[in-house]
Amino acid sequence: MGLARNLVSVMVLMLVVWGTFLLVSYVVSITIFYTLEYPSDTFLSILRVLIGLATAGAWVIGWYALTRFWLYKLLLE
Amino acid sequence: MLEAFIALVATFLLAPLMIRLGKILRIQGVDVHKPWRPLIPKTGGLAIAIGVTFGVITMVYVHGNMVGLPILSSCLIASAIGLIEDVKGEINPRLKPFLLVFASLPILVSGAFTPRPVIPFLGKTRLYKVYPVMVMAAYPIVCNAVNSVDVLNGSMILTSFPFFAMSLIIFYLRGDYVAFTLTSIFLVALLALYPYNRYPARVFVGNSGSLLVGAAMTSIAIVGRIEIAAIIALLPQIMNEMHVIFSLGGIKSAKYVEKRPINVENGFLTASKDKNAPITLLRMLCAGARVDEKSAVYAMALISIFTAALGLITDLAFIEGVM
Repeated sequence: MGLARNLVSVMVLMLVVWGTFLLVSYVVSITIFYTLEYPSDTFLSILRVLIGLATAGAWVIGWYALTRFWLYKLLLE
Repeated sequence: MLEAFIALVATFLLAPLMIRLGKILRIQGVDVHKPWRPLIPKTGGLAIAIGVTFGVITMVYVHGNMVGLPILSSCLIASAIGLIEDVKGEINPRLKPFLLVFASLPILVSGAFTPRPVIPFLGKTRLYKVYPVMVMAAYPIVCNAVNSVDVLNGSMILTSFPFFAMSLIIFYLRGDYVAFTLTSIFLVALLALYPYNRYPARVFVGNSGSLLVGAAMTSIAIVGRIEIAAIIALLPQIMNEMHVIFSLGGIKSAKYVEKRPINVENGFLTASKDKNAPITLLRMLCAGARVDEKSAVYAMALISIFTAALGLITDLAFIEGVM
């Protein structure tokens, strides 16, 4: 029973990660990739790239924080 | 599909020879999850390497299509790095990612890539300068990620099947016969080794095998242009590797990690409750439970099937636009 519960729980985590990945790829596509495709004003381009990088970085850190929460607060409690 | 058949037969027939070779040359590792702690040869990856070499060479000979050669070269470079680890012991964990960048060179030098990946919501991009850098970074990341799930008997093979199955479906739907054939060569080679590597394992895939499979996945994703689907399908492997690095506070050798994520009692796996122990996929699956090795491997495979399905859905909805 424990393994089945953990399996479903990890799948839900993967579903959340997938959803947020799509969200982040949307942000990256309208910031970094858009700038690479259609470079325009320098300031705006740098700003777009910085926002894109910050979002992607925050996603990676958020993923780790979420997994820690999942393991220690949900699975090991 | 003669290529795939040859890869299947070659890998299956070579595996017993590789087991014998591993014993003779003492390229062996302890199966730490068994109470009797047997010594198992780590040479299964060599059977895969030779099997896929036969398959790809047959493909080149029969169809005259050369795209398999850079993919094969990438895989063999990664496999050679893994073999050095299997024979000599662990390579410096900071040097290893740098060495694995060399696996990207055959793809980059031969130009077997299209620097126009299709990104969800944006469509086809033109990343002529950035894409080669991404290719170079992809090999160490994926190879190490695949290597990181090779923790139980059959776990690397069973968690890799869904990726290749997903790729096969996408290439079939696209009518990309070359990518379909190449993917099937790797899939059947893994299938052929599985009877020897499944619980209780008679041979380990070894680093030579897991790094080869990682390089194969990366090459197929790049050459077959399924980058986004591949990232999603490989989320469990990437998560496993990334969280281990984060937990340890950097790239460090597993040998120097004092807190183990998993405890073994009479052949059953239990998750460590220590907050300083690395976070791994297996630890999450075993949390608060007593799990036998076989069930744990099947659970890991189910998660890979799930993420491969998500990768397929993403590809069909956002890349192919058929949903």
